[in-house]
Amino acid sequence: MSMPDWHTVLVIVGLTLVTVLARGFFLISDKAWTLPHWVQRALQYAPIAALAAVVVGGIGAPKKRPGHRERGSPPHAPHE
Amino acid sequence: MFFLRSNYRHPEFRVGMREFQGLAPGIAAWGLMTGVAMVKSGMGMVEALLLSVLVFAGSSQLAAVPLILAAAPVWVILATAFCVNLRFVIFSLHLRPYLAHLGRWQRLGHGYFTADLSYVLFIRRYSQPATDATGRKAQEAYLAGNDMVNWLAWVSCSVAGVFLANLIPQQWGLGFAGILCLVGILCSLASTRLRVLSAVVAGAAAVASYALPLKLNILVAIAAAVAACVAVEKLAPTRAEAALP
Repeated sequence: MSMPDWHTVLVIVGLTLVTVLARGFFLISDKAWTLPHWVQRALQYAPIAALAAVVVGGIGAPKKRPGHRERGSPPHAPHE
Repeated sequence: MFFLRSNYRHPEFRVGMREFQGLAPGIAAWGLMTGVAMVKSGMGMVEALLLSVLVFAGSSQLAAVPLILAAAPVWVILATAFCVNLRFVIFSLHLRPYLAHLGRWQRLGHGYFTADLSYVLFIRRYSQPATDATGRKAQEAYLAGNDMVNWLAWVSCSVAGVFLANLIPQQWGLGFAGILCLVGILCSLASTRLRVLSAVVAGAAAVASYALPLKLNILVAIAAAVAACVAVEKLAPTRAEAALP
C-alpha cells in the first residue's frame, strides 16, 4: 500500500462530517420541540417510499455501461 | 450506539441484530460493489479503505470518488456528498422524537450509524416513540442492534472489495443483487393501502426523475409519495386507513 495523499485524507474527513451532518441534521438542536402532528403522519410514509425509490430506481433505470449491449438489441442500435 | 454496554446488554439488542440479519447479504453485496468500484476507478487503497470505514455512506462515496480523482474543489465534493445524502435529513427528522431524551453526542452517534435499512427496520418495529424510560431504552437498544449488523456487514465487505478489486469482475451485478435483497422488506412494509400507494408513487417518481443529478430522484420520489399519501388521507380518511386483506 502506498502512502496516502494528505489532501485526499482531509477531504475524506470532510466527507465523514458530511455524513454526520446529514444523518444527524435534526438531531443537533438541544431545544425541546415536537413535530407538528401532520408531519408525524406524513413521515409514516417515508420509509417505504425511500425503499421503493431505491429498488425501482435501481431495477427500472439501470446505469448504462460503456460497451454494454442489451441482449437481443441489434448490434448498432443507438441507446435511447 | 452498539459499543455502549447499556445497549448491547439489552435483550432488544439481540432482537435488532436478528431482524437485520436477513438484510445483511444485501448490505454485503453493496459494500463489496462499492469497494471494488472505488479501486477500479483509480482510488488508492488506503483512501478507499478510509472512505468505507469513515464516510460509511455508499452512494456519497461513489459520488465523491470521481470528483476527488478529478481534483475538484473541496466544497464541490462536500456539497455533492451532502445532496446525495439529503434523504438522511428526512430520516433524522423522523428519528428525533425517538432519541430526543439522549444527550447531543449520543443522538449524533445514533444518527451517524443509522443508514437506510436500519432506519427502515427500526420504524417498522416501532411506529411510535416510547413514552416511558424502559420503552425508550428498549428502542435505543434495538436500533443499536440493527446498526451493528449493518456496520459490520458494510465495513467487512467493502474492505474485502477494496482488497479483492482486481479479482472481482464488475459484471457480477453486485448492485443488482443488493437491490433484490430489499424486495422482501419492501413487501413486509406494504401493510396498508396507503403504504402500497406510497411505494407505487415513489417507484414511478424515481424512474420518471431518474435523469436528475446527485440521486435527487430519490428525494423527489419520497416527496411525491408522502404528498400523495397525505392528500389521499385527507380526502378519504377511513378507506385509506384500511389494512390490506
